[in-house]
Order: sequence, then C-alpha cells, then structure tokens
Amino acid sequence: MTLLDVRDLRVAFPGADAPVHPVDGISFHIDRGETLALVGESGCGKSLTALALLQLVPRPGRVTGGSVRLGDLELTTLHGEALRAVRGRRIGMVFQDPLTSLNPVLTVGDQVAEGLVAHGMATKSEAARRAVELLKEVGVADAGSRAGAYPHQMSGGMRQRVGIAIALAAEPEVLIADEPTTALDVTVQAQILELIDRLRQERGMAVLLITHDLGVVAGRADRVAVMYAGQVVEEARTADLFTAPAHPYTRGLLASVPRIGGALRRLSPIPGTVPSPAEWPSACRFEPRCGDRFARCATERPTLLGAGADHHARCWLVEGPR
Amino acid sequence: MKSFATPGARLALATLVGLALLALLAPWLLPDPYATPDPIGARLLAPSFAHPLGTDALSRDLLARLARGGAISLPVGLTAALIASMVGGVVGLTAGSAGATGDLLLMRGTDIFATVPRAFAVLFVAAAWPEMPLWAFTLLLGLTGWYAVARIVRAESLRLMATDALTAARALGAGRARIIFRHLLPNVAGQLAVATALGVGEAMLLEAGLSFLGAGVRPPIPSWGGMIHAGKDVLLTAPWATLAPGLALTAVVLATNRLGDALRDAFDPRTR
Repeated sequence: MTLLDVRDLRVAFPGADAPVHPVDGISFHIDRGETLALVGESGCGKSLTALALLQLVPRPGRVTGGSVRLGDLELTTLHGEALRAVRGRRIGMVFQDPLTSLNPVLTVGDQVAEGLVAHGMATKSEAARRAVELLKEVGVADAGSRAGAYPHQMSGGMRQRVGIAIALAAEPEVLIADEPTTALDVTVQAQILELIDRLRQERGMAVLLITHDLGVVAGRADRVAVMYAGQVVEEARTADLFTAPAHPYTRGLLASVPRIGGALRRLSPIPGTVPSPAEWPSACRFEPRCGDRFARCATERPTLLGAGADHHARCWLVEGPR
Repeated sequence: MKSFATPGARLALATLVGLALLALLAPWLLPDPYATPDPIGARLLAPSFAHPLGTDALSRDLLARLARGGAISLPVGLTAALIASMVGGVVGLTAGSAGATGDLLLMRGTDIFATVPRAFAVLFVAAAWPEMPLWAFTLLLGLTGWYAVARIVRAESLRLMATDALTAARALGAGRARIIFRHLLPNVAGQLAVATALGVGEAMLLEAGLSFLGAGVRPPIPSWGGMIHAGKDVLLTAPWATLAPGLALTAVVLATNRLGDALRDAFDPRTR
C-alpha cells in the first residue's frame, strides 16, 4: 500500500532569463516497509527532491508544482505548525555529512532527544533517557557516556549513527536517507546501510535511499528510480534494472561500475557531464550524451514509457528499435 | 576552564578582580574620596606613602578617587555593554532567522538608528536633561551601542541558517523558538561574548570621553573620565593626576578584550 506518493514535483530557482527547474516533474511512490533508491549523478536534482518533500528547499528556490501525499495528507500546501508536525515526526531525514549536519555545540544526547521534545512526545528527562536507548539501538557502544559527547569527539561512522538516531527519535513512518554513506569510509558504509535496513524491517518504515552509488542500491533497495537532469528516466524493480536496463543512461551507469566476477572488460564511462539546468535540451535531456540517439530524440520529448511489469523508461527506444 | 588558564587571561582576570576589590574595599581602606582636608597645603601632592597616587587640585586622595571612580565606571560600562548585547542579540537572532522580509525590515531599522552618532545622541540627551541620573546615562549608553552587535549576530545567524545543521534541525521539526535558542544562540555565544567584552571597553571609553566633556558622570562623583578631565589642567605640573585614571582605563579595556577571547573559547566545545 502506497505511503508516500510524489507526483510531478517541480522546484524552481530564479535564472538569468527564465526560472530554471532543477527538479522538473519527478514522480515516484513508496510503500510501507519498502526501500526505494533514487539514483543519479551529482547535480541531477536528487538531494533537492528530498528537501522539497519537507519544504526545505534553500532560498530562493521553491516548490512550484506537483503534489506530495503522505497517506491522506498533502504536504506541498502545508505550512507553520502543521508542517512542523510532519517534519521529523512522520518523515525523518538522515543527511549526507554527519559532521556538518550535527550542531557542534550541543551534545549528541541532547540532539537525539531534541526531536522527542520538539514534538511533545517526552519531557526533557524522559527524552534524555530515550536518547540513550536510541543511541544503543543504532549501535553506539557505551551509549550512556557517549550521549554526553560532542560531535567532534566521535568518528565519522559513529556520527552517522547519531544522525540516524536523531532521524528515528520521533518514530517516523518514512525515512529519507540522503547519501548517508558518501562521507564515510568504505568499511563503515556497509554497516550503516545494514543498520538502516534492519531498522526499516523492525519498524516497518518506508525508506527513500538517495545515492549515486549503484553498489549501494543492489543489495538494499526493492525498487530503483534513476534520475537524470531533474527527471526520473527509468523506474524498475531492482533486479529488473540490473538485468534489463531499458534506458541508455542506466546502461551507461551500469557499464561505468566495475563488477567482480564478470567478464573482463574495459569500464566505459558516459561521455560528458550533466548539463546545468539552464542548458537542458528541450527534447530528450540525455540526447547529447547518448550513444543510441536518433533523429526523433532531438525533436520530441519522451515520456515515461512502459518497458515491462513495473518498469518504465523515458526513452523512445522502449517503443522498439529505430 | 582551560581557556582561562593562559597567562594573558589570568593577568586580565587578575586586573579586573584587583580593581573590583579595590573599589569594593575602598570605604574601609582608603580616605574619603570627597574629603578636602587641607585645600591649600595638600594640593597636587606627588605620590607618597600617605597618598600612593598623590592628590588632585582640591587636595583629594587620588587613589581613593580612582577606586570610587572604578566603582562607578566599571558597573556603568559592564551594564551598558550587557544591555547592548541583549538588544543586539535579540534583533540579530530575530533578523537572521526571520526570512528575507523580516530581515530587511529589522536591519534597515537598525541602519536608521545607527545613523545617529553615539556620542552625539548621549550629548543631546545630556543637554536636554541636565539632571540625568546615572542609571539613565547607563541605559542610554546601552541603547546606543547595540547596532554592531545586531549586525554581527545577524550575519552569523544567516550563515548558520544556510548550514546542513540548521536544515537538519528544521527537518526534525524544530520550531522558530527552538531554532533560535537551541541552534543559533549557542553557536553565536562566542561572538556575542567577544562583542560584549569589546562593548565594555567601548562603553567605558565613551563614558570617560563624555565625562571628560562634562556630559557623563557629574562632579563631585568621581569617574575616570572626569578625573582625566580635571587632570588635564595640571598635566605638566602634576602628570600623575591624569596618568593614574588613564592607565587604569587602558588596563581595564585591555583586560576585558582579553577576557572576551577567553570567553569565546570557553563557549566552543571544540577548543574547550
């Protein structure tokens, strides 16, 4: 059953001539207890999408269209207290860099307790006790005394565990994890991902896992949405995406990642970089970098086309070879 | 407190504590600062055992007057700086977290206040209100000294509001008051401490300057500025009458600045 349903979400920033839309009509949905991975290169708009869900888009940007439904609640029109009651309480968020996303002058115990107090779920002393339990739950050793530590006194992995404890404190139904392992050592990455997965199972949360790393996706996500230039270009169950990618961009991403045990081959990076939002082509946005492009790609904008069961791709090739 | 353990901070603390003790204990240890025992024979005596800092033109003991002056000047400067920091802190935090329109209104309002020179504002009120009591003078110093504090705090708040930590705070459902008091205030506390310490020195210098001009603390109440004012007439024959309050003022301003740095370090857990 769908818990979070995002439709045609658009975020606009003022541009030199006209407003630009770094998030331009994103749609996806997540079911209760499910993990959806949102994958894409830097600058494709995936973090901005996450911030837009909670109306946290930095000024002067703003959400200009679409809908975000959490159960029966429309989030894009909320403001003030009603919006605050959703943030942290119904949707929790884990940030990319736990060093910059934690308050340097508050102890980690205080910061974990804060969500509980902010939502009136506990008194200060109850919240402090609960914070220690939460730190224990996310695997902070010696949680009782570590609760009194400041962020700079902890390692990166421990800090991110604290970040997760903060996001989980008020028992949200949805957890947004924005590149939760990017700032961490490889050895710690797997632990953090396992932790998020375990908590998802225990609590039945829906998880939106934002990443640029397909390796992160493979083991954890039920479904994957691939983003390119502010749009979802392919959406599929994880296994289908890896075995039968339908969009040339997805194929390119997969070809640029080394595989252990696969046939020995040259890694083939995708040529070029993601253009900035003001320079996006008007038809297919991937067309200039695409190895499979043909005449129609430069003139007609593709929509998300059915490429199989629960499988869509924004590419004319889905309709058949040119 | 590690940040107060450096030699400079200790010296600064010792200076202020010493002067405060001198001011507090003066009634029991020193002669009456108002007494003029021998208006003719004891005028402008050089420092001696009986008068460690000498006497002034009215034969009053300068050390006693310096101590009593400190008992006036120090609290005036401290109170004025605290008032300035409180008003400036509230305005700055509010503006920095208010969003574009609120920020614009508050800071342009601050600019308007700041166009009136501080000394001019105090002189103007002093001229219109000759009997201005000390508390009103102190309040006036405070209420004309918050613009710089507001600008510093507002700029730092704006910077903080754009950080991941504040986005994270909002993402977990922190409301406006929580943002200001739990996330902005502790992070600007160091800067606020430095601004307050600088403000103490500034207010004391302004008090001295205004008293020197005759618009601050009124004679016969001793104040350091007033003592410098009185000493300038006999600068060549009795330099001690000017030097003593001048050096005391310099020492206090230097000490408060140094203590401000120590306070800033004490507020930051990363340097604690």
